[in-house]
Amino acid sequence: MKKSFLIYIVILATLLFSGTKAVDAAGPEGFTVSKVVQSSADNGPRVNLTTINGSFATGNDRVLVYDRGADMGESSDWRKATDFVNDTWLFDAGADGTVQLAIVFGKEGDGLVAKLFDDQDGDGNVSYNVVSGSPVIKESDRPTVIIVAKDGWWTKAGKINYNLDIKVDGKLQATEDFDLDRYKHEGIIDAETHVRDYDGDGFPDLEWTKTFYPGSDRDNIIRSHIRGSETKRLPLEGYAFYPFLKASPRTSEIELYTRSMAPIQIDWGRGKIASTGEFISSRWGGNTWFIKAKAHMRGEQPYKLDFENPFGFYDFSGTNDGYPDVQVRLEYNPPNDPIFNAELGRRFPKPIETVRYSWDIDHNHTWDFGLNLIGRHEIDSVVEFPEFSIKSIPYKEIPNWVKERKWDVANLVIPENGYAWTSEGVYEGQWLQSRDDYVTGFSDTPPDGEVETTAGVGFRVEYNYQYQRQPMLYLSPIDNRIHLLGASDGHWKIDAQRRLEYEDLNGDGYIDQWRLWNSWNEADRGVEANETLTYSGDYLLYSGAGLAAFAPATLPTALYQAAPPGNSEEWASFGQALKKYGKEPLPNTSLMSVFGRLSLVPTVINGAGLSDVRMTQKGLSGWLVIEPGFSKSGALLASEGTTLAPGQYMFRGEIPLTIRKATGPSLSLNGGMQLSSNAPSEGEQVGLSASLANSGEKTASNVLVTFYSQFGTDDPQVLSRSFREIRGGSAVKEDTVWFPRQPGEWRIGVRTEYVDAESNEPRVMEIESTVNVLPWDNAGWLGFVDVSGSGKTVLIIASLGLVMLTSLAAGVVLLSTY
Amino acid sequence: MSISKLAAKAKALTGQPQYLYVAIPAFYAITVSLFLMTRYGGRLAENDTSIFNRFISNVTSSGALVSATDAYTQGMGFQAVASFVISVTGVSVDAFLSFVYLLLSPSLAVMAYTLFRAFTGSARLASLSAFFLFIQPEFLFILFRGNHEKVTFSLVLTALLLLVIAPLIGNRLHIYATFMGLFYLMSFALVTVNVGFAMSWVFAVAASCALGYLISIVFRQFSMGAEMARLFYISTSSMIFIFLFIFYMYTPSIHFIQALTNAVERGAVLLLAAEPAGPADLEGPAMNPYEYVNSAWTSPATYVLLTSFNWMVAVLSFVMWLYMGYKEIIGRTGTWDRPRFTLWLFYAAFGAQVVAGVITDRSGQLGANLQLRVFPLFMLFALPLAAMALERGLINTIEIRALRLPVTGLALALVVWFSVAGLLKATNDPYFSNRWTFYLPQEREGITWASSYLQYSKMWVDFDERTRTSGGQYSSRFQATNQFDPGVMDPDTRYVMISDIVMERSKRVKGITIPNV
Repeated sequence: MKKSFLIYIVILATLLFSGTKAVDAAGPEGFTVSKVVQSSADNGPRVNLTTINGSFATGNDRVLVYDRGADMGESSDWRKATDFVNDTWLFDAGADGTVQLAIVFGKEGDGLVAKLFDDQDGDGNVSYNVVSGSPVIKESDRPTVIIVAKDGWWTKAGKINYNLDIKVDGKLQATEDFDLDRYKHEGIIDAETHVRDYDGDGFPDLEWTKTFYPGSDRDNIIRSHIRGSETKRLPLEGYAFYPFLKASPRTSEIELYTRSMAPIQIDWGRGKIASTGEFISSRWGGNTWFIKAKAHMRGEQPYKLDFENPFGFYDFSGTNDGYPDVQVRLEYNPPNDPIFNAELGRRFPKPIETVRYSWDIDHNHTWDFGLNLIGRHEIDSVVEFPEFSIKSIPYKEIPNWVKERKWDVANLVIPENGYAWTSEGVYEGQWLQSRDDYVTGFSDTPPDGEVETTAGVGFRVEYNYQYQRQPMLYLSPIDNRIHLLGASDGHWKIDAQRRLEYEDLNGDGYIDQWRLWNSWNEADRGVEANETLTYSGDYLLYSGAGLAAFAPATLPTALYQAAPPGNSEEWASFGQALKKYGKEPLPNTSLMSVFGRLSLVPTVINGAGLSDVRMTQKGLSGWLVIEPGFSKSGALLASEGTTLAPGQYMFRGEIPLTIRKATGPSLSLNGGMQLSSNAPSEGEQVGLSASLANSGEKTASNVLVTFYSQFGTDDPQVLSRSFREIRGGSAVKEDTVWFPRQPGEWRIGVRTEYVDAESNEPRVMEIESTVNVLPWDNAGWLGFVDVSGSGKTVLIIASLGLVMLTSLAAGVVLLSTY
Repeated sequence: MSISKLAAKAKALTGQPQYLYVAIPAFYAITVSLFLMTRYGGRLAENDTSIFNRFISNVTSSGALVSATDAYTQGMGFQAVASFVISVTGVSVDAFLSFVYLLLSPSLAVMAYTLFRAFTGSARLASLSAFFLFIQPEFLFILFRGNHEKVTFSLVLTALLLLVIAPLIGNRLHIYATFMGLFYLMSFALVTVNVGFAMSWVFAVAASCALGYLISIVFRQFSMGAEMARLFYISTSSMIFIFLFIFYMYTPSIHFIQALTNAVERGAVLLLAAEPAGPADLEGPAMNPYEYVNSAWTSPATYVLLTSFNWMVAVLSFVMWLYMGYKEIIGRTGTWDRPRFTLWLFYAAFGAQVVAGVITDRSGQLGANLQLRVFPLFMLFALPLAAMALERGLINTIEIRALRLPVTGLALALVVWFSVAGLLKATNDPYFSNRWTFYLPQEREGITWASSYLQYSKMWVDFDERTRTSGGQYSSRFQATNQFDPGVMDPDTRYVMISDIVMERSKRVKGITIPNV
């Protein structure tokens, strides 16, 4: 007995719960009613006009509802008196006798239709006549918006019907990015929107809009929109009588994206329909997605859509408050997309996309990380909907689709000073020029300055232009901060002056050098950073503030390592790791404090500095410069014959760290000078090159390399002049071009000049060659007769001879007539 | 054999002297055409030839004067005629532009002879002037390249002839009306071929008219008033043709007007028959044409030598123009007939265009070389005047027995030199010119290969537009999905084609180097 009673209670509760959810589809209204008066518009015995006084746009508004179906009920309750089936509703904002919006409801077959008329002549009034008690719209013979509910109802049992087909003809925001200037109200449909509630729960599941742009197919505009919602929306609110009609005020962006406002908005002051969407807010909360494409949704299916395809929003925290925790935006261009790079006159035969992956790790409505990726992956999966199919990535698979692939270019942007909430994630770090020029192969090198302009003060940016790996992040044990695994470089603009730079010296994917500069300006800041921290895998080395410090250290490569969060578990795990390991990050203005944080006791040399610290295949190397008056704490091993005294030393990363005296630079031009042509002609382009080798250990800096030419006793002419730096044990090739302008004997040479840093003596080397330049025209005119390769030398000469003979004969004959 | 015996033999061969006179320029035109055909074997790399090759191909393939892809904004007459000939004969567009079209040359010589005879009233002077026309380098360049100008000149010569001889037929109104009707037909045809050229022509007629009025008022020579009224009607009616053509008959011409971005360009088109500047062929600012001489020729002296005929004609004709003006306007000798007065007026109008062209060229505001466009037209009036001056000088000197032989010898030597120099200049002979106007078969093969294997790529090909404008459709096929990158190589250019010709040119071209590949 007790059990059966319990089952009864459970069933009852379930029913009650379901009913409540259905009723929830309609939320708070946006209007009030103060008075309802009924009358006969044609002075007949039957009531066919209901006047509703109240507020929907201003404090004092009025609605005139004319009955066209002879079924108006006599009641002071507007819901009982009027209907959305065969009545005409005239909305008079301000109750001043003008009409700002007219909706003519009617039936089409089994369906219901609402025809919306707004002002067309700019007087803020929709003009109409009342004929036989029924209003006839004079403002236009065609509606601006037509809404059709094929099911034959608008609302039923607390549910709102979201199976709608909408057509728009006019200058209004039919969808986002609608180019208003190109449309007019002329009887041609400009956009059609379809809304579907497939599971019949009273909430929209899918909405798509096709725009019929009147310009060229090559115009760079948005043509197609698709929006989807994976969970139930918040109840619809703010409507004025008709559930899709928004009462004043207009919906703000934050409301659009975080609440569920009535979608058809009116500019009540001007009497114009302002917009007809969104029924599914594109960027609402989590569990939402949208596609915004420049391509048409027409022709063969699946439709191949470009641009924002797809854009997913994820509520991994489950708070469902309208703010997503993760956003993944793909900007996709299929192969040979005619719009991609069209302004540059190019086509790219492969697919190409950028990904903007943003996440808020503590759901405090600020973005914490922005990952930007550029790749060349084709989106070839098909997403099927009941009425069409597209090439896209299913909503739930978007994060994994990104994480599973290798990317050509990557950067991680971290707003270290916090970030305002935006509806589309972290905007910094979108390297479109890299995509357009570099990844496409149109340029060999990444664009200049893109890194610098990526983000301003307070942003940390880490990147790699040859990423070629799956995206992964890690938390460094050295600075306790999240980094992009595989980043080659990075920087953090700390404030208006200071900047912290990052570099992965040995290419293992982990940052191992931090350089703190007190100035951004390269001209001000000198060659060496103000502070440098390097981790070699065996040693932690610091240089700055007039001292050098180093300590043996064996640290894990990462305290935590993970891909960007792609589900609730990963999102939570990422947050927990940050809380656990990232509590006390290394101060960005005091790199020396790393030793204390890691409980290391370094050897410190006051009055010394490290420079040119490198990680080579042989391990750590660099220079130790000791100034007069230095002091030392701790052990330091020097190679045999080396005594610690002021001067420049080379150090190596063997265990233990060893220093030794370095040999100075020793330059040579042993390879001589090469010419591209041994017997050049006058005016011919001749390539000159020379190889400069430094067999010493120290770098030869500011080496002036000058190529020159000299004809006879003329003054030598400089062909090129440049400063080079030649590292110890390496060689550089210098080349230039020479155009001998006259035949004869020329002398050409290359001269190198530099000052030996140790002896302060100038060093000059020079090599010279003598070249005999031939006259270019030694072949004479005959040599040029068949330069076009026609093979008709004889004919050409003969025809010219004939011309000469004819002209001679003409001259003779004409002269003879005198 | 003495000169007089040679002349007697020639007379005996040709019969009546007037046939001899017309045969001289006509036969010379044939020999010149033969040389122009054989010089590069039809492998022209010249901008206008390339452009019209494309336009004509579009018309023949689409069957419409305005194809879906592009249309010549200045007119469609030449494309229509060319397409007709190509469709009827079956020759290729390349062959038409390089060879068949040159067959018009002898008839141009006959037309020029007829006009000059009307101007000068002398068959001998007309023959000399027409012969000179085919020596003149810029006119030979018109013959050499494959654009609309041979048709344009035919129409100008015919229209001018009708204009000059129509008033001479006296009171026979129906003949006069026929002549003027034909004149307007020629004028309208000129508008359809090149509306910019037609504008310039109408401006010159209007300027001649204004100058004539001025003279008739200042010097009280009211007898010329009727002639001036006629010129006024002609220029006004022609302007109506132009208006109707641009705005109603061939609306692509509206783009030609719209493309002129400033008043200087618009003025230049109206006054000087300049082409609106297109995309720059080479990097850098607009080129001063007179600096261009330095870079385009092996030396300025070479240029002066090759164009020495032009300088001689300019000096002689100007002296003759001054002499005629002084004699008839100040001296009132009364020997000035209508054709000569028309010649005198048109010389002044087109001379003013040349002067304006030189000034505009010097300012560097227009990329095109205006001298090249205006000068041949000016020569139509300068050559008869120069011939008159030469005749006077020759008669005076030959009468002095001691000077007879050296003067005759010098004159013959100069004629031969001028005829050769004109051809060398017109064909941009590679020995003298640095701006070559031919291409190699191997270069064509290279571009054809690249068209098949490259997509969405840039390829460096030469120092200037030579390869890009080399004739035929193969370069268009390459450009359908690729770009040529002439001049200084762009950093994103990945492909380079270096031919023997490019290597040879590198010895001449200054400031641009072959890519270091």
